[in-house]
Amino acid sequence: MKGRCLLGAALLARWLHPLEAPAAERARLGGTLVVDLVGVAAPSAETAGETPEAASARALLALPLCRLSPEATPVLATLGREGAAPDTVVVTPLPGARFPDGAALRPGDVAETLYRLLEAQGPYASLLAPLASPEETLKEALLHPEAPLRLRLQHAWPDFEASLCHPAFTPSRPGTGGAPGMGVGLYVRTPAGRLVGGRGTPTGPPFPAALAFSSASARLAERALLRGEVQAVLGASPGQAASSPLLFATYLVHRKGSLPEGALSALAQVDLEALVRTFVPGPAVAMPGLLPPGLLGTAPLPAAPRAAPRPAGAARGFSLGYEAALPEQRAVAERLQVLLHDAGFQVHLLPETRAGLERARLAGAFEAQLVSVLLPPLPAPALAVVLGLAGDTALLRRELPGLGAEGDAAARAARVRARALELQPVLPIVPLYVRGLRVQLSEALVGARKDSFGLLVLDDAWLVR
Amino acid sequence: MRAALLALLLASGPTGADGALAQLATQLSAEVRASGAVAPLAVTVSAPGHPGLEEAFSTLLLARLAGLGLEARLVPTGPDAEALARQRGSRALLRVRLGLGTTLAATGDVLSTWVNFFSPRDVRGPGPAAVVFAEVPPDDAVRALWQSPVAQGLVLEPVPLARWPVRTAALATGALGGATGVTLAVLTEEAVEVRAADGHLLARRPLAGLPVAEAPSREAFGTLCLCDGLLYAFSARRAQGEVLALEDGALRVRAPLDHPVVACGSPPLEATFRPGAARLLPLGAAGPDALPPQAPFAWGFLRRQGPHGPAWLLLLEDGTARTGGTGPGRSFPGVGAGAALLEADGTLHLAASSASALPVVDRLVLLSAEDGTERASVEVPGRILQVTPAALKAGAPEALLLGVWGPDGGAELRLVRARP
Repeated sequence: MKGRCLLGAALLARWLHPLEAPAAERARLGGTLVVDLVGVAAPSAETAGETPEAASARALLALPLCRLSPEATPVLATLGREGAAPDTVVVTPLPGARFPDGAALRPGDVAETLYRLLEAQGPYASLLAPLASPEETLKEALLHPEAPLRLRLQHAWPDFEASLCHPAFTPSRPGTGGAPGMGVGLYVRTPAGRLVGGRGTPTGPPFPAALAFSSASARLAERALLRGEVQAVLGASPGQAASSPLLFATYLVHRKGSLPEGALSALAQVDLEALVRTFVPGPAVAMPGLLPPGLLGTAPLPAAPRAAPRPAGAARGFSLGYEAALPEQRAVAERLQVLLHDAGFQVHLLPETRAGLERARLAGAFEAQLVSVLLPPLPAPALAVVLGLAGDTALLRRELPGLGAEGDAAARAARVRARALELQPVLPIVPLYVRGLRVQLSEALVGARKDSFGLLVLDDAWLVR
Repeated sequence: MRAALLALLLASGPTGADGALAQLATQLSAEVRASGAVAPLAVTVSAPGHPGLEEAFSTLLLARLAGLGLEARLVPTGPDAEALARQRGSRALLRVRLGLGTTLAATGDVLSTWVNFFSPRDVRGPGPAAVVFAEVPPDDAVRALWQSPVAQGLVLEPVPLARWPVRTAALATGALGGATGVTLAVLTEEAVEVRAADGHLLARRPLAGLPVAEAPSREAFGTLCLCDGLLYAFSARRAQGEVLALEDGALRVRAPLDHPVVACGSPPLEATFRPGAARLLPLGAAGPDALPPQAPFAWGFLRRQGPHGPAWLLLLEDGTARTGGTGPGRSFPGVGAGAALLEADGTLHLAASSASALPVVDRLVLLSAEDGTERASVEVPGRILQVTPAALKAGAPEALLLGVWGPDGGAELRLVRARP
C-alpha cells in the first residue's frame, strides 16, 4: 500500500512538472536556497564563524576578505607586495563591494576588522604576529579609511596574504553597541527579515533569488534533503568520507604546572584513534602531532612516554573546561574524564561558552581546556595559531622569523614539520583530533564546492528544479 | 587505413620498442592478473566514438592476457555484458574504458561472474569487483586511431587550441582587419583575445580598464561580433564595451560601445543585458528575417546568412532553441548553453550542446534545422558553454569552435570538424 502511495506521489510530481528538462544548461536563476543547520547557531551579527559549518553559513551573509585558490593564491581581494618594499603587503578589498547598508567596503573597514581581532587576543590574532607595530599601523589606517591598507611585516612571512583569507578576518561593519555587524554578503536581510540575493558583490548576485536557514535534527534534515525541501545540511555527517581538508583541530590546552604529576603521561596513553572513532562524528581523524596529518605529513612522531605507575594514595584532580555548544567536545571531555579516572585522576568538567573559555585562558585562570580552532591550510600560519594557543608570545616572536625565512614553500613546510616535532613536548598543549566540514548536499544543488579551508562555497551554486 | 595502422601496431609487437597502446595493454593485463581474476575471462572494451582505438586495443589486450595464461574472449559492451559472460561460461568479466587526455588511460573493473551452485537462483548479483587502471603517454599511432574516421560525422580535435584558468564568456570567428586568414576572438572573464586559426595568441586586451557594471552577472557572459574587420566586444561584468581593431599586433579601441552587439548589419543589431544575470534581450525592429516578434530575455541570439537567406537562432531560458528567418521556424527543446547554426551540404543545421546541468562529458549534437532529425553527435569532455561556426578554410566544410568549461574551473577552446 505504501509503495502505491509513493508511486502516486511520483506520478503527481511528474504531472506537476510536465516534460520539464531534467536539468538546466546555463545556471538557472531564482528559487530559494534552503540551508539546514544541525547543531549550528544561525549566523548573526554576534557570531563569527568558528566551526567549519558556522563559517560556511556565515560566508553566505559575509564574504571573507579573500578566498584561497587551489594553488593557495588569494582571490576576491587583491593582496600584493609593494614592488620596492617586499616587506609591505597592500590590501585592496574587492572594488565595488558594498555592505548591506549601501556603504562601500573600504580598506579602513579591513583595518578595523584586523584591529578588533588583535584587541580581542583570540587564537587567530597570532596570524597577525608577523606585523611590525600592528596597533600603530592599524590605528593610523583607521584615520585614513580610503587609502590603501599598507601592512609592514617585521620579518619575512610569505604566507601572510594567504592567512588573511581566514574566515576570522571577514570584514564586517560595526553595528551599534560595538558588536560586529554583517559584511559584504551574497545575501542580505530585507527589513521584513527575508534573505535575498544581494547586489553588493561586484562578482554578481547569487543565482538563487533568496536564502533561508532552517534548523532540524539530523534525521529530519536528511529526510527534508531527500524530499528536496532543503538543499544543504550543515552539521550532518556525510555518509562517506569526504575528501575535503581536515583543519578544524581540537587541543587540550593546560596551564604550565597546573596538572597533577603523571596526568600528561596518562593523557599520552589515550587511544586517540578509538576516541575519534567512537565520539567524534563526521570526517575526523586522530591528531598525534601538533598539526593535522594533512599539514604535518606522516613523519614518525616521538614515542609516547611510558605509562607512569598509578599514583598511590588520595586521587588527584584538575578541572577541564570545554565548549558547551559543541556536542563533540562534551563527548570527548566526558570520555577523557572516564579514561583519566581509570588512571587515578579526578577530572572536574566545566561546560563554558567560547568567550568564557577564552577569558579564562587569557587571564591564566584555568587548569585545562579543550579548544577547537580552524587552522589555515598552510603549515607555517597553522603553527603560528597553535603557538598562539599555547599563550607564549615570546616563543611566537622567536619562532616565526626562522620559519618565514624559508622562501621556498616546500622547504618552509619541512622546517615547520621539524619545529612542530621539537616543540610538541615543550608546549602546554596536547593535540587530540581534527575534523572537517560536515555537510550533505542535495542533488538539486549544482556548483557547490569546497575551498582550501575545507569550507562550503555556495557562491556559484544554483538550483535545478 | 585503420587496418594498416592495426597491422603496424601488432607488428611492433612485444619484441621491439612497444607503442603506447601495446604498453597500455601490457600494464593493464598485469593489473588484471594481480587482481586475481580467473580464466576464462570475458572482456568488454569501450572507447565511445573511437572504434578504431577500441578495436586495436581489444586485440592487443586479448593477446597480452593470453600471454599471461588468462584465456579471454571479447563480449559486446552493454548492460547485458555480464549476463553474456555468464552464458558463455566465463569466470570473470573485465570491463575497460579508454580515455585520452594528457595521458591515454584505461580504467576498468573485474567482476566475478561465478555463481555458487548452492545459492538461490534469484540472488545472482554482481560478484566482488576489483578496479584496474593503467595509463601511458599517448603516441602518434594512438592519436591517429583516436581521430580515425568513424561512423559519426563530427570529430573532436584531440588537442585544445587554447586554455585559460577562467571561463570563456563569448566566442566569434571571422575576418579581422590587420590579420591574415580567419581569426578566433575569445572573451573571457578577464580579457578580449584574438587568436589565429591554429590557436596562437595574436593580441590580448584586458578588461580591467573598463568601468564595472552596476549589476554584473555572476556567470562569465558577454557578446562578441566580428563585423567589417572590427571586433565588437562587451562583457556583462562591465558597464561599457569597445569596438576594437587589430593594429601593429595590438587591439586598439576605435570607439566605445554603449550596448552589446549581437549581430552584424547596418546598423549592427544591439541588445541589452538583464542586470545581474547572464541573459540578453535583442533590441530592434522585429521582422521575418531579422528578429522574432516579442523576443524574450535569452541566453543568446545569433544571426547569419543561410543558403536561402538570413536565419536567426534564439536560445531561450527554458532550454528551447528557436530558429527562424527565411524558411519555416522551428523549436528545439532540451538545448544546452551553447548552440550555433551551421551550414553543411547546402542546408542549415543546428549544432547544440546537451541539456544536463554539470556534465562530466558533454555531447554536441548536429540537428537538421529543417526537420529536426539528429545527423551526428560527438562527446566533448567538460561542459560546453559556447559554440560558434568557423569557416577555417575556403572550400572546406565549416568547423565548430567550442568554449568548454572544465571541472577545474578553467576553460578550453576546442575544435570540432565535420567528417572529411
